[in-house]
Amino acid sequence: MSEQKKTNIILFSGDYDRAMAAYIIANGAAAYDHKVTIFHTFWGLNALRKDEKLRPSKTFMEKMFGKMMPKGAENLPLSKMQYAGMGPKMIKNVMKKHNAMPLDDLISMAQEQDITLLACTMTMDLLGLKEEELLEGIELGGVAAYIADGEDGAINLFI
Amino acid sequence: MAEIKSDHILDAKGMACPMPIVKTKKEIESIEAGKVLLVEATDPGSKADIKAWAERAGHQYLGTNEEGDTLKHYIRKASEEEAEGETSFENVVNNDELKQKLSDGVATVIDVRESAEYAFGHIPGAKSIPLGELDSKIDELNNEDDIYVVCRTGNRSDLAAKKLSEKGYKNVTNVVPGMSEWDGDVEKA
Repeated sequence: MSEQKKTNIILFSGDYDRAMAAYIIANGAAAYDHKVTIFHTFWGLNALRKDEKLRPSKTFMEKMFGKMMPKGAENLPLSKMQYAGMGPKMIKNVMKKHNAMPLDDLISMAQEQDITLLACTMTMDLLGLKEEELLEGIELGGVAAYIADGEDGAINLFI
Repeated sequence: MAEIKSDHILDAKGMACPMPIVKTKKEIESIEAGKVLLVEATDPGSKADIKAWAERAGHQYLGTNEEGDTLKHYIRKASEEEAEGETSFENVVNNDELKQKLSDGVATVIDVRESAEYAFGHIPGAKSIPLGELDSKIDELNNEDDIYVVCRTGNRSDLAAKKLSEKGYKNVTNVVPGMSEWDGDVEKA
């Protein structure tokens, strides 16, 4: 077979639906034998947070950010029809009915398929997110790490 | 359509995109080259997905049967030996020459592809004997017949033709390339 192609996705958004789209594309590309990297930056980092109470030492501002931002994939809001939390509940019900995989399962599947999940350290600093607050098996990097994968990517997406 | 034989079955029923493809990819890694995988799915998008994926990944997409809500996709895992396409059996005709023989009505065509490949399209009147079953079915052939052995690319039929002539069949001819480039009549069963 020809040289392995690459798919690179920048996940900037912290919306449940957008993150789902990113992870579905990523998993599909991995099945196509692409080498896949998802670069999580800004609100996209929230998809990688553990849904646990952790108390890493933080400044006051970092603590505030930590409280205000959703903890983990299944707590992300929708980009449309959020309805104060009702929207995600409704859509998850519909997803269950149609056997669509929830985001946290899509993330585990991505890890199983050896998709590189990259967290942007610069925005982690800005938002006060510590490495131990993120899921296991996440790589840390910056723009150069992304470009290294992205420069010869067959598919590059910004979501 | 009668039940089509497959070597492996993957149950992807109820799964939504992208799971049928993800599971199919995993499954096909575990099976032997040249074997046929049946993927049963209910996602209507899986037909386009599986076909596109198989062709890109180098596997052979045979076809899809619909049974109620279930889509049955048949894929044959790629085999590198076949891709090389080297044949060494001396008695060879091309597709057009076979077509001529068929219109003269003198040819017995033996299709040595897997039965699932045969089911999704073969030369009318061709007899299906998958290469792996040739030993046990060799007695069904008549030594007097003009036997033309066909497969997808001419590679498996090359092996089959050699075996037949070793067993004493005199009038054996390999058809090259075979079904991959066949533009004559096709029958499905």
